[in-house]
Amino acid sequence: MIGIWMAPNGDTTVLIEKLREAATSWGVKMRMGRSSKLEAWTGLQTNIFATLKYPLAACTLTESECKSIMAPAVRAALPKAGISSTMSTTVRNAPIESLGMGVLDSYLFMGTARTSMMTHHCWSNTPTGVLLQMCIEDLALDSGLYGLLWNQEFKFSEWTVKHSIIFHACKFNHKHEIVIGIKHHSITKRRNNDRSIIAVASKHISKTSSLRAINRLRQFHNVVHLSDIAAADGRGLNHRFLAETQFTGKRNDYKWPHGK
Amino acid sequence: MESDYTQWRIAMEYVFPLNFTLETPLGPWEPCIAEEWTKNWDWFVTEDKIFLCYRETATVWHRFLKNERLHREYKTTHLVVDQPAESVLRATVESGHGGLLLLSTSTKPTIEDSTDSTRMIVGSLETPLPEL
Repeated sequence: MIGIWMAPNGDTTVLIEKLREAATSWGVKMRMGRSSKLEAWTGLQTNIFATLKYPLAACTLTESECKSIMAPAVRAALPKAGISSTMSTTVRNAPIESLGMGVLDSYLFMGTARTSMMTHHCWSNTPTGVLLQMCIEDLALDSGLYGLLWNQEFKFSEWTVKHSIIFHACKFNHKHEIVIGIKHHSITKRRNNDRSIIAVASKHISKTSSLRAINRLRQFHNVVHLSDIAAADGRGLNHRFLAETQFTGKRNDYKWPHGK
Repeated sequence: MESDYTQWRIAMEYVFPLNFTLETPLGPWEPCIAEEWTKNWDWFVTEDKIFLCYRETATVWHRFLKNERLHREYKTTHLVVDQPAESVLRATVESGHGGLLLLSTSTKPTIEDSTDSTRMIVGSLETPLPEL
């Protein structure tokens, strides 16, 4: 993809290397050059920040990874622009309207740009929006919980895959109390007293590795609800689900990773 | 995977706490369309309990006849038939003792009209409903 190095398993090593390389190379040129304060400041805002900002909406970097990418450029440009590079990041990254320096916080930019991009594309139903919608529904199925993904507690992070862009958007939005309302197909109960298997299991089991194992097997059997694994009368477990082989029957129309 | 099965079994003991039964039964099914009722389950029984049916595909069903001499047991030989015309109930079945044992059946849900509320027909053309 143009300007982005992505791996299907979510590995960001190459992406970080490339972005850091760009920031370092720009920083070296800034140090070697004879730019004025204004030129250094303008270069920082319009040149390297623009380069680094470009792929961020599609990235799933952590806060420390973002800081490490930006550091070579910021450390080189701020002293040239007459600003201390050791200044508190709170002041440095705060908007100018709030008496800050308005230096880009790439982590916050990545999180907000991602959410804004998701909302825009899903709302406008663009081809990207359709792909995002599929990712959202994949994560909703992976979480195995009823209702919209955005209304869930972020507890599902204990058992879902962690490399999806939607997972990272949920994580960021949860941390920063951002609520979005993108509609997606959600899982609903099939019987009066139905509940989600993983929701019930997570009330009794807190160990993350156990929850991940249960979720793996739930997806291996392609089931979501208690009604999927209960006998037809809804009173007890269908003992077929204790056998150590994949359930070959059908309980829903969802597209599963281990689909039959 | 072996450990996953162990964890799954432990979870099932919590989820179905009374020797793999629920404290509160799941109760009646939510209303659904007729197609969904047969599509998302594998074993069915006719309301008169004479035939046990296994849904292979939408049009290929295996029909097993009740063994008259044994309560709840069905013969393993079967006929390949179309989807049963009569009303069928979802069933849980176990094989053993040389036959198929009907363990439980469910009640029928309210069957809803299968009309897709997101589409409309204009003349001979079927299109999605316009969004506001």
